[in-house]
Amino acid sequence: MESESQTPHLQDNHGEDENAITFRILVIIQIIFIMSSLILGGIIFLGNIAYMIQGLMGISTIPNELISMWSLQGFLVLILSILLMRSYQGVMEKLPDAFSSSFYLYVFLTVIFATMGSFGLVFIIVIILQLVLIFIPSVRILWFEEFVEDTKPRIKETRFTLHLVRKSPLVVVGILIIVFMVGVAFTAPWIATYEGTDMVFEDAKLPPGAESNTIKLNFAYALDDMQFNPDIMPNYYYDEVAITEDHLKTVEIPRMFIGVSDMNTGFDAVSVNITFRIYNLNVTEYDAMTESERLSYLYADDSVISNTSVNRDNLLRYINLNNETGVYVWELQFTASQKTTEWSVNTRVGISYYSIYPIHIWGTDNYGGDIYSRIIWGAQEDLKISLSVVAVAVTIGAVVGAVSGYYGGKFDELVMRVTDIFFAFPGLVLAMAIVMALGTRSLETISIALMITWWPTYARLVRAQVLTEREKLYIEASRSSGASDTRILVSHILPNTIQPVIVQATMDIGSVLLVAAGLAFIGFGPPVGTAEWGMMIAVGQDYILSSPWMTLYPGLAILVTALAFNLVGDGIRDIMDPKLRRR
Amino acid sequence: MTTTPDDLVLNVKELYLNFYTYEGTVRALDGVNMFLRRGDTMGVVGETGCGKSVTAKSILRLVEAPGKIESGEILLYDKDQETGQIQEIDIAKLQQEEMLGIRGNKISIVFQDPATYPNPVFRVGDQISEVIELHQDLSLDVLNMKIAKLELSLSASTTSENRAEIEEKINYYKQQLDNPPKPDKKSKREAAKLKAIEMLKLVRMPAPEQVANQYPHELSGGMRQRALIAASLACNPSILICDEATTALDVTVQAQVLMLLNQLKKEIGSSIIVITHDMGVVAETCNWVNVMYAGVTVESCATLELFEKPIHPYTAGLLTAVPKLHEDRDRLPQIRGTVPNLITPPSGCRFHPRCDYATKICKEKKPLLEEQKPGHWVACHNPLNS
Amino acid sequence: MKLRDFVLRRIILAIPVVFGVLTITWFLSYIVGDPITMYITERTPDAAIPGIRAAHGLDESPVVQYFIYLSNLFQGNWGVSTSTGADAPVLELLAMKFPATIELAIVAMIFAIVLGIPLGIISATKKDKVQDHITRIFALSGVSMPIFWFGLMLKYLFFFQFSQWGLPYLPGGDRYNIRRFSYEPTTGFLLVDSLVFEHNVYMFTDALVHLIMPGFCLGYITLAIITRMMRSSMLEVIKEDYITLARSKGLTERVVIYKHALRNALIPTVTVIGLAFGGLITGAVLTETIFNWPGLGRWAVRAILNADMAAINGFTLLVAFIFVIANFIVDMIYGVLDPRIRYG
Repeated sequence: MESESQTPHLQDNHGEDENAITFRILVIIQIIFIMSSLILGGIIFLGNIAYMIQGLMGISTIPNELISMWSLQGFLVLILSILLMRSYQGVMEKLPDAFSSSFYLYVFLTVIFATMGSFGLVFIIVIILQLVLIFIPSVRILWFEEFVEDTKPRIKETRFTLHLVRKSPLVVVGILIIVFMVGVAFTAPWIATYEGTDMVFEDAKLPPGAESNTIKLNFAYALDDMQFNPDIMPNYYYDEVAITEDHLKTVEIPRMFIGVSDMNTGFDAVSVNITFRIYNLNVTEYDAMTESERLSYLYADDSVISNTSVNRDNLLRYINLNNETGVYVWELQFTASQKTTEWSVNTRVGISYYSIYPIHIWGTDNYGGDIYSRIIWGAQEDLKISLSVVAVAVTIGAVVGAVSGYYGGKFDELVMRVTDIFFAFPGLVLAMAIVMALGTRSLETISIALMITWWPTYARLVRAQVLTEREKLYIEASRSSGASDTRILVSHILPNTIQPVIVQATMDIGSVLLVAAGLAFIGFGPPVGTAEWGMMIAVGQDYILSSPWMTLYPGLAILVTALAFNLVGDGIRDIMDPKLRRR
Repeated sequence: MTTTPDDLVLNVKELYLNFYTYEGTVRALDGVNMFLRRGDTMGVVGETGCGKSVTAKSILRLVEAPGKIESGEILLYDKDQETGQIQEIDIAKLQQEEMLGIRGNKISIVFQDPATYPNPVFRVGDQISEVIELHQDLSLDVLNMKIAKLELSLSASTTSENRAEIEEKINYYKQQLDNPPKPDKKSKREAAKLKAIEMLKLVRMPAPEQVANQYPHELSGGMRQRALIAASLACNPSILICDEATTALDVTVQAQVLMLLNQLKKEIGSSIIVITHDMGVVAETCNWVNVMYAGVTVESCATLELFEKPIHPYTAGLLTAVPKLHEDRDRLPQIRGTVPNLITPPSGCRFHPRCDYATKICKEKKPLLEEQKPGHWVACHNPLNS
Repeated sequence: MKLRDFVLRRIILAIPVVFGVLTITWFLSYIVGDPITMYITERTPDAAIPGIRAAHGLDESPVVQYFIYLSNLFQGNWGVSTSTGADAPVLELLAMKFPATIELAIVAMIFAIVLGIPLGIISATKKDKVQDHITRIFALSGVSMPIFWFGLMLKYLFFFQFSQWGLPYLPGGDRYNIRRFSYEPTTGFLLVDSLVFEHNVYMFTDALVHLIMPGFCLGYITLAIITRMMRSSMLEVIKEDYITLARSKGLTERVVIYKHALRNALIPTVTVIGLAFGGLITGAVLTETIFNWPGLGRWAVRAILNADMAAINGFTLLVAFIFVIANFIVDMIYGVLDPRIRYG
């Protein structure tokens, strides 16, 4: 009996020793990590504040690139580091909870650092090091089992939620549309046939599916600002160009363009003979021939003597090519009587050709802007507005609502009266007044106006939720076990109030689109010509009888997008509602 | 189980019911057998989650999706009021529309929580008269009410001319008493309301007229439960199911309600099914007991016999777990293990993992409910006390 | 709580809201433009301006100006609107335009309630079935469309295209056919006036026809809100114990849903209806512009475009009042529907 009980005791001792060493290393690394990320976050954050103050005061010192590049990341790193510091305190006391929360924070931080280039990489390596350390068996026993126990029901819940999502067709459709729209926004440069600001005035008010009335001049450069080596004379360059069907789509003849300008040979003032030739050859034939043999295949040539002191002649020519497919070799040659120490020149060689503008699948607006392309570009702008407005409104609203709901009292009264006022105000008029007060009419001012009008909704929502949650028994229980207010608010109440906020936020992403459109309609939209859906409708309404497509398609875009967000939000509410959630 | 249907009102045979959930099929009822004799009070006992309430709800066909009755019979022996003929109805096979005539009329139920079961936005009296109006032919009551009203005005009126007119009317109505005409909706509602007040009186509600006009939240828990009992007894049902009807009440109120139920049983002539997890309630009120374990009826016998000589090991364990006053023990004995997960129930006898007497056969073969002793049915391979 | 206490409490709560709105409107007109524009028009001679400025205390400090503004408001001097062509006092214009908007809002509300509540019930009772999906898509479309776009599209199809195709078409604007009838407002509510005062049934039907498109257009959002609220509260209610009890009584599903469940589910829905009424007036801003409706909304838009601060302020205040009153009425109805809340 005696020996049996002693052996594990010895092992325990041994384990604790080893444990202590690894643990100490972990703690040291953690301290280093937290200090450096706090400093990083702090520098960026404070730098940004300083920059803002500078901007307000009208002083302009160019900020450090680091500060301006990662303003958002810096802020997030700062917040997460502060949270991480708190959980490190727990880690030192070997609380299993603290280990798991720092584990989550590592994951978030890794994501943020991943966007910060090679600078972030260093931090990621340190994070990985810490992760390895906390997974070393002697440290792992401190927390891992409890962590798994903790996450098991959560994973199970999540799986069940996903199962319900899959079972509700409307949510799936909504998610698919949202993914599609986000995809459209990201791939706009590739899938839009025109630029968002393109206006082909000849094409104004064309119906859907119409071809363009005009043709487009294109340049395909074979040589773009080539610098020649002044040490080698003669200095020459040649290449093959092919005239393909692409270049022959219109009646206009494709042309070769040669541009040599701003020749400068410095103080040496050397005169340079510039010759440009086009041969009816392909490049293999060209290579095989001598210079004189080539000349019999000469298609066209041109030359100029550029003398820096007397005359600075430029070689700028268009040479008509045959209006059929074929291959040419062009040759650009500089010949000088003597070498020069300085030498600079602008050179361009290319084909200029006309192509037909892409078809206007959904017609054009009154300025000849392509509706289809503008809707695609608009997806970018509109999603940006909606997401930023909702994100900011949720953040402000959640903080105000949570504090006012949890502490109650005078602050709560004040907040409620203020939100009352906001609700009593006609939203559109308020947003409009703010845009007016801000002065300029741009997407940014509209966003700001909408943020200001939107946060009370969330403050109300979160407050109501916190109030009901606060009275529940589990809060009483955790308070009686000595949890601090912040801890109760952050780790108990907020997770339980987040669900209706998510639902509301999802649906509001759609609503922001509508109000932004409404603002545009009453004349407080972004500048005319901005590819934004609301603005497109607002412009189109004047032409509703002659060209209804101007209004129809952007409206449909808003409808589909907002509907998708609403479907998802509404569906999520059904799915997450504990009263309706059934197994 | 074989008994003559003459004295039976309800016979549940081999009832199987599943819940089809995300995590799997919950085999909630796995062969429930029970019968109820006319005038009996039968107890159904078992732990939480053993399928007592589901059985009660399936007798009324109130089990909603994802629950589904798989097989089995729920036979209701309905005695015709006039001819005295007994008609056998299999509730398990009825359509939902056909159930409407049975619910609240032939079988009614009193639920557990008097705080959540009454509809908060309707007056108590209306909630009772609603059932009466729905199921009862009130033509006679309407006539009687009219006569009573006229008689009241008769005693109040003075002029002879008036009196003659009223008397004539009374006579006219009295002639119709044998073959009352179909009453109009308004007077029917009025009569139902009067009857509801009568029902409230029946359940010993203080100030019934006043209570009838009150909303549920204005009453105490015990009063609310009385009101619910009044509503369920309003149509003289042949079976009254009390689904943990007294669990949410104070002990003193609980005793009152139990006493009331037993008195009413005699007055109305119903049979009662008492569903409870409280052995004390069973001992006090029931003369027959069904013990359920994990969706199976394991023992069924007279109350006294069960308390004296339980045969099934589970019942025996359950009874030893009840604290007794005259015994001095440091720790109550308990049945080892926990209630099984009904998605993957144990093979054979569902009790075998927790049973001290389990043998190999218990694991392999499901025991059938058999009459081990006269009047004592048990589902066990290794019965005790036999 | 006694009814009197309740009313008093509501009034006390409403005071800061109204004052807040007053303050913000004043502040906005103060920073956005020169407040003098509220009292002068283009036709005011330049020489008179300093006099007007002094008369309205606009040469005083902002604090004094604020109190002057308040006292003006309480004396019924809400400024002069310049954007309507003929310059007129704001209060007068509000009173003139108010009936048209309220008439439209009420019709829209009737549309929304009459369609929304049954749709919500259908959607809840047939949860996750085809009916539910269709209803939800229909309802959610209402909150996913720019209201003016919807109006434009309705007008394009039912007015313009239908008349092009020679089909019976709906009028595309105005409250009544101006060429057929002449209308001298008595109460301002055209439907009431035409029947009660003018005894003109043709005019009444004409007014009704004119209300169809703008009414539906304006009501669609509210319809969506009501349907959604009705659905979710119905879903919650039919899980309640008292519904099980109602079923156990042998009541038909119809009675269970339309009597026992509906009455309970209506309680939260009524709240939403009340709140949505305030939203209707804002929605009217856009709808009225599309349908050329001579109400507050179109007037407000014109005021906004012309930076007519007096008119904007007047409109804002009116909407705030309507909001406060609607909230009050909702609370009263709440008490009627839910016996657990009693005011007296």
